Amino acid sequence: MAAQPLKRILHVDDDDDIRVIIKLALETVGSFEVHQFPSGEAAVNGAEGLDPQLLLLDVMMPDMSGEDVWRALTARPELKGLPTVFLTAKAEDSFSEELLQKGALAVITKPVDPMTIASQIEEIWNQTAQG
Amino acid sequence: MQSKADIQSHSDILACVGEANAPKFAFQEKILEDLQDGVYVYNCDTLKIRYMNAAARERHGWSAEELPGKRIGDTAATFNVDVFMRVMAPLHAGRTEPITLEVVHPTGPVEISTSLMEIAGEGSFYVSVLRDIANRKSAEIQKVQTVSTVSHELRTPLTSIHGALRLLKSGVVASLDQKSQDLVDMAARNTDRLLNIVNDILDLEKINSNKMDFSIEEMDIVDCIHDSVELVAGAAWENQVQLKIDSEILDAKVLGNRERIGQVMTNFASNAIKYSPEGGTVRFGIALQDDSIVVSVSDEGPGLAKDQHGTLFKPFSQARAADGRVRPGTGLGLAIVGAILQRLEYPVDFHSEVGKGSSFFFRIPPHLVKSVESLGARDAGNR
Repeated sequence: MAAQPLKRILHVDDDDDIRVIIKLALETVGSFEVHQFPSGEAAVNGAEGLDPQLLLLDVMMPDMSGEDVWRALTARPELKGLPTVFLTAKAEDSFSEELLQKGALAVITKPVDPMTIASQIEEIWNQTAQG
Repeated sequence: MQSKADIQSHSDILACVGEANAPKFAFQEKILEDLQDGVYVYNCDTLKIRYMNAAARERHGWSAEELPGKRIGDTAATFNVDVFMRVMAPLHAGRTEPITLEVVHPTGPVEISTSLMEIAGEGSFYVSVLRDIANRKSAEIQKVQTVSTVSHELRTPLTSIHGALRLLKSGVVASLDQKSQDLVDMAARNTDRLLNIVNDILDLEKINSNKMDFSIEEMDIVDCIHDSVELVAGAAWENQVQLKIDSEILDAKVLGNRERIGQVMTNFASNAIKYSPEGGTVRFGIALQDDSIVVSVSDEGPGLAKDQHGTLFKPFSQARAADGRVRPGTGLGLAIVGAILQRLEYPVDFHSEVGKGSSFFFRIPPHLVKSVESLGARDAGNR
């Protein structure tokens, strides 16, 4: 799955401003195609047909947490085992290890640098492809 | 008249000082007896208890009559005489300030301040004053939690501001004229500063609330120091400062946490670089002293005046260097370093002399050093 170049990312974050920055960072600085949702519920309802190659999920969200969204989306046959990267606030880093053990591809600590996050994700993707 | 060695209670004092002095001593004794803090007076050599006031006796459920024959070690099942004697050693070496320790008793946290009292013809006594600090501790925890909550709340908007400014600065969104660029640079610089403060506060809170990883394992300290030097090489180059490692040790395995020691080293090193004059040298020392390993970071900066020494490891106490210039920083770096080294049980200290520079060091005590391969002085060369 990861052998293909990464193109389509599905991003879920409840913070409007962070979504604007991540979109600019991944589409303008990087050259990905980013589909965004402000909540887990919106993502679950709107993901059909988007065919994402990677999930980029905020960990702390009201209602559905990043982990809940991950579980719900990857329960679908077409998204099963989809590589997933989490965005987490620094104070939750004890949680990072847990997510990695559960199978997350990577956990990126906020604040993200919009100038480097695209290359960071690309690197994570390529490492997976080699592994 | 009763001998002084038999004094245990109020009536003994009266018997000892005689009727003429009785009112004066009775007054002082009453104050001592009724203090809310526990007072313990015990012999330095035998550790036999000579006097305990009512609060102290009540804490241990002892009556005045039960005190003869009791030793200070009987006050707690976990009392370790060897450790106690080691901790009190500075009092016998001339220290006049009391030694204050925070201890968690089964009844809650207490602070015990111990000083030395010499009585002519009687010998030396320790006087320990025990204060219940449960309320103070819970207020401290509440304060840290409040600061931590505020810091979390600050982080989210700061993350957006930081990201937006980074994008603006880079020119990917639009190109800016010089004046706008300067303003964006200024905003970005200050946002970075705010984020650093918030991150440092969160780090400090994590240490205080035991949320930071302090898992101890056998690690190569020399290797760890070399890695830290590599990490700050860029900053040194930007500030035109040379880095030099003076190591007497080729290889040493110690018990510690590599990530935390790295954090301490980069903190010391960043400070040393920050305070160094252009063309100066920051030296990293790794030496063996009395079976301990001493790791030091020394600069050739302006040094710190004596009045700055006392508060260096306290939060938000950014020191003013002897040249009067304030360097950018959060004022929390050394507080974090101090807290980390305390958790690792590595004693920390520093020397600083105005006009000559400062040297910060920590000592890895012998029981945490597993093996050392010494090679005599080695110069790792300039980097």
